[in-house]
Amino acid sequence: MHAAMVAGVTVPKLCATDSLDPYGSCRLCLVEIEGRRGYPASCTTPVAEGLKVKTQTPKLADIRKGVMELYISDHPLDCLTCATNGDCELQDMAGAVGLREVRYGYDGENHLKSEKDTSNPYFQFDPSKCIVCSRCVRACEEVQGTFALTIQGRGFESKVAPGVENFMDSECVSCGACVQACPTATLIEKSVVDHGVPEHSVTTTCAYCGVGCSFDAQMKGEEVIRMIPSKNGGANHGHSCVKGRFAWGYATHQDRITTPMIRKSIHDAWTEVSWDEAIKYAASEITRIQGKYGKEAIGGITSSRCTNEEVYVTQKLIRAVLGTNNVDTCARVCHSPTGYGLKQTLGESAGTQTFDSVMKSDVIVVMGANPTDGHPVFGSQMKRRLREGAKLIVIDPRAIDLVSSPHVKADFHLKLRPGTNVAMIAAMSHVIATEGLIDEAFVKERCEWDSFQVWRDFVSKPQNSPEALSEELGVPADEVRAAARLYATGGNAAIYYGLGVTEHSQGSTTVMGIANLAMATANLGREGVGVNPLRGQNNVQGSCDMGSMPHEFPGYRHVSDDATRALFQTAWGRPLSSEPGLRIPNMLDSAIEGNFKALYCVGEDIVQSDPNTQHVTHALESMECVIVQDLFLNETAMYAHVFFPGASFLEKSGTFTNAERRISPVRRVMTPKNGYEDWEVTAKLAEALGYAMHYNHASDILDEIAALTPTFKGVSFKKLDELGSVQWPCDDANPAGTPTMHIDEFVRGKGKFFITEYVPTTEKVNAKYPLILTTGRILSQYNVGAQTRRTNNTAWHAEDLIEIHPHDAEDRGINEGDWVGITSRAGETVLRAKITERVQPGVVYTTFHHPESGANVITTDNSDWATNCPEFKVTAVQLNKVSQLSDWQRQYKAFSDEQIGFVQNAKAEAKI
Amino acid sequence: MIMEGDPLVLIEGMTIAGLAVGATQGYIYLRSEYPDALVTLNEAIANAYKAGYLGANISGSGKQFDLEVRRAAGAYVCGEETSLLESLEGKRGIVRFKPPLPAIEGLFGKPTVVNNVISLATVPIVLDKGGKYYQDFGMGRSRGTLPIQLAGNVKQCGLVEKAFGVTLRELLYDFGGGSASGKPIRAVQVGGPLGSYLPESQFDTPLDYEKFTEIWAVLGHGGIVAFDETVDMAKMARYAFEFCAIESCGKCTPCRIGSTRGVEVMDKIIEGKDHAKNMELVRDLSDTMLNGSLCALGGMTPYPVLSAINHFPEDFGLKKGQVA
Repeated sequence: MHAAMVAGVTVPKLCATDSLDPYGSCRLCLVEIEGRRGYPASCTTPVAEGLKVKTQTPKLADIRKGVMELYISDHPLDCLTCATNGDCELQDMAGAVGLREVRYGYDGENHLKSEKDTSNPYFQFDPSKCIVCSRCVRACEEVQGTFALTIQGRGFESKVAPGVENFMDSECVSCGACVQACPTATLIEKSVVDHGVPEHSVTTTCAYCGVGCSFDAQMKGEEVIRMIPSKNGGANHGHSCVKGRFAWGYATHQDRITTPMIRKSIHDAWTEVSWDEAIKYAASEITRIQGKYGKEAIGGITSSRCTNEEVYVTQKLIRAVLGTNNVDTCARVCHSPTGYGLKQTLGESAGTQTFDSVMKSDVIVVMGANPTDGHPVFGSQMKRRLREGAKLIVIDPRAIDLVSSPHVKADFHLKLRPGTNVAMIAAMSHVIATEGLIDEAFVKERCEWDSFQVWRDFVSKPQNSPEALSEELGVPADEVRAAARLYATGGNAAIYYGLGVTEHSQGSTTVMGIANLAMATANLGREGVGVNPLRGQNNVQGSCDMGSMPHEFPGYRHVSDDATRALFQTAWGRPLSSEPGLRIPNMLDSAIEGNFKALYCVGEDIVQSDPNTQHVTHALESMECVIVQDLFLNETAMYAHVFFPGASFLEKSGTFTNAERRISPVRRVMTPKNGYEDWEVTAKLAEALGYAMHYNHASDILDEIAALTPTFKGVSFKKLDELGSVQWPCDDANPAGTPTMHIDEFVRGKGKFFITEYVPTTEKVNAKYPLILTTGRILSQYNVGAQTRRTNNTAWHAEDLIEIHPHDAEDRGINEGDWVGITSRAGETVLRAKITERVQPGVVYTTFHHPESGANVITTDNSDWATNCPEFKVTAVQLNKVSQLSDWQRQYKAFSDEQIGFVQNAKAEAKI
Repeated sequence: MIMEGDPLVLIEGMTIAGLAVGATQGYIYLRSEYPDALVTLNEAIANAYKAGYLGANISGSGKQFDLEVRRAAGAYVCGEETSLLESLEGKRGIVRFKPPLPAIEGLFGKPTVVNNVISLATVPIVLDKGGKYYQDFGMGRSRGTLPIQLAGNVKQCGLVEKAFGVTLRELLYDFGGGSASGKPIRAVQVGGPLGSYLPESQFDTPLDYEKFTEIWAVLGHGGIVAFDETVDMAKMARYAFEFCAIESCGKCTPCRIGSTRGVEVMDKIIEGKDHAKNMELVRDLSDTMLNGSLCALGGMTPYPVLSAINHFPEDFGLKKGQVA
């Protein structure tokens, strides 16, 4: 069939689709082959040299018509009022085979009275329209790897079933693969049922996680009808998850603020004003504060949710217009150790591979990451490779889904104690160094030999042996040894890691340790191997690339580098500071000290996402002008004096760069409800401050970035239109980008080994705080939840829960669903208990998707020694059963209700 | 019969087959309706292990072959080799498409030899007594013997093991003793529920795969069911569809929907509703199932149906000799 398609010949089909393996059940694609008996199905017949195939003969026409007649004898005849009218493969095939009559009549056995399952908020299942082609079942297995669907019964009774009563109660993760695969209206988006089939389509990039899936926004005028994962998407190849596929309704949510607002004090009500007035007011405040307190009294924070162009323009505003390097980004609190650690060892602050590389891995190490929840589309790809037989080592305190899920089982789950990552890497390195598993030839050729020798001597010390560290790790030494041997000798070995590696007091150390391991075993520089940070947000990589950190210009060039600074001074026409500016925690500390007075915060919610919430809010309260640019009145905006309404990803042009350095286009599919794309707002602010930014379109900004940044030299909107996406470095030597990095040599020349001494965190358990709290995320919610909480994804996760091991729960008399007080050295909050063996005794776990949960009320000020990335993953706590919310939560509720009231009043007044 | 009476010959045959193709694991897929065979086979396998005929070092040869019995739930379609493999893997017993043939990609994706008990159990005999000995039985390309199951309206039901070449009439009258009711035998279904019905005029056909193929019939596993003149062949045709509907795995459309529609169309024919139209429809449906089905279950259901119509048109409201 594939050969026929390539040759431009279409063969009728229903059960076959290019995203799935052949199945051979519908019997429409039968053909005649010269010299062969019968009528083989073209989808399952391999092509061979000299094969003479007829796809249209009178006999084939008879058989096909006979099959269609059977199909339609058990299918409702409501095409005209059907949601997929005009977009239905069954309808097309009935037309193609020329079916004119169903001689069986409609009084026979049928499924026409089957009940609809509307339990999923986004799609419905109407079994009366099902043709039992199994495409949904196969998509759930082959593409998503969840195995939630099956065919129940046999013969005429065969029907698609989600195992239990309905989709919502089943293991279905609502990725949409089944809906995508369905050839009829059986599985269909409710939005299509409500609004009809879309009329035009624009390809854009998802604004959720670091996978960066490509989607076709299918539209009706200005309205998005559905988001369809693009088959040409370099990162997702036509797959999606519940967030990107369905959870985009926040863009038109009633909570969105679309008119600028200002106020004198955070205890005042807001006043809606015009854009001009808001910009003018903000500019005047900035000028006043810089005049009064000095240039350094102000700073900016960008977000990994912004486009590259927005981040670039924001840091340009701060550096060139405000004359300070006080600009930082939310990557500070997630992947800053990645940037630091990989730059030091390999020479570039980015993952080494392309996602597809995993399909060539023989051993996959997942450390401190939960791909099936945090990076679901890549998680599915990884599971596909694991089902093909790749080995899996999971290093995580908690039993993530990958440890054991349908047809996937980790060969090793090293269930270490939170905070002991460096010890684990040291122990694995010890085994590799002392058991002769190092690839010395690779190290000699590619790495700095001296640094290697120092490293080898260090890890070979007895105190770094798995036996010596076993108690600290809480993992038996023989397991560590076996896992290390597998990594070093099992073929292509790739490490994937996430925030469980970086968000520690020694986050940067672990990243360097991982790079050491990969260099020592020659697992770098080709497909199937590598060091792969799984970036949390859609544009963590990009926002870091764009110079959003206080010490670096775009392209990771230090502000003290004279040549680079000269380049930017010339291009921007303003003097630039050679001193690194303040990082987020420094800004906050400085605010509390009374030196830092104003903040421009674009698309980021530091109150909810940064550690030690009270500290953050205290700092904001100490400032005189907080400008927040966002879609919603987020937690930070409750402390703001100026609110600039932001535009959603559907309303702007730009680019996002995903975890594999893939720059993908974001295309505007609807007019911004707030009036402007975000970069336009920043440009207007610059202009009001006396600095004109001459951009007509986001593409002009990208052109400027390309002109000033060597690794982006070859990137332009035109190239993205041509290629779909491109992985940097993209320059004259690599005009189509670079999927795999460090192939012949490392970016820094020779790879450098670093000593990674394990220093236990100061956040220790004791009698008062005997448990370790660690945090993570869940599939249906995204980060601080500002977007996903405003969609039907809340049907899966309406509140954050605290996961407790049954032993710890029993000790404290805690039952499932009880209110539990969680007290740390920093604060206290209350969550409902979920008792589960996913966590080990002594460890509790929660997510941070809901502001009222106050997960960061309890996290501490500890942070990574190199980058200040907060130690989110380790907080010593005590739990006790309580009957009411914590003081903080009650204060939060009162404060947040008041702030929301201020906005509602402003909206109401504006109407009058 | 073999599994209960001489299980060791099957074990030996499978071991030889395993050694021949380099397989180290064998499975006997046994329907749960044969509890005695299960006990006997398991005992025989245990004895064979004890005696060193199975296991890691067969008779000290250094070669390995392990064998186990897997109980099957009893789906007819799991007699089809690919759904048998699915079932052995612990999945729903649905048919796989071929190619790849099981010999290339079979159980758990590994090359697999799938054979009937009789084939495997014959291997030791052939090796012991030589190919010539085996060839001396039978006729044409059908060699060896076949345990024939006589059933239905015959005086003496039961098993007859004969070399290929014996005629139906010999079996029905010499071994079966004619009909139990004393009335003339009118029709015989050979080869199981999906075999063709043969009229008296074809009773002299010898049991030979090729001869049966010539008259659009199948010898299959050698089951013979006799019917006397009281039989209503329209009901038998309906039963063929019903059997297919009950046993269909549900994967391919012609079998999944066609079998149920077949029952309904036959009901209409029996009722005399839109007779001519429905007679044409049942032939068209048979054609769709014959040519369009994924496996032999749907593909062979038209054999009993069409042979009944062709040989016994008078039971379908047609004149004798009339073709619908």
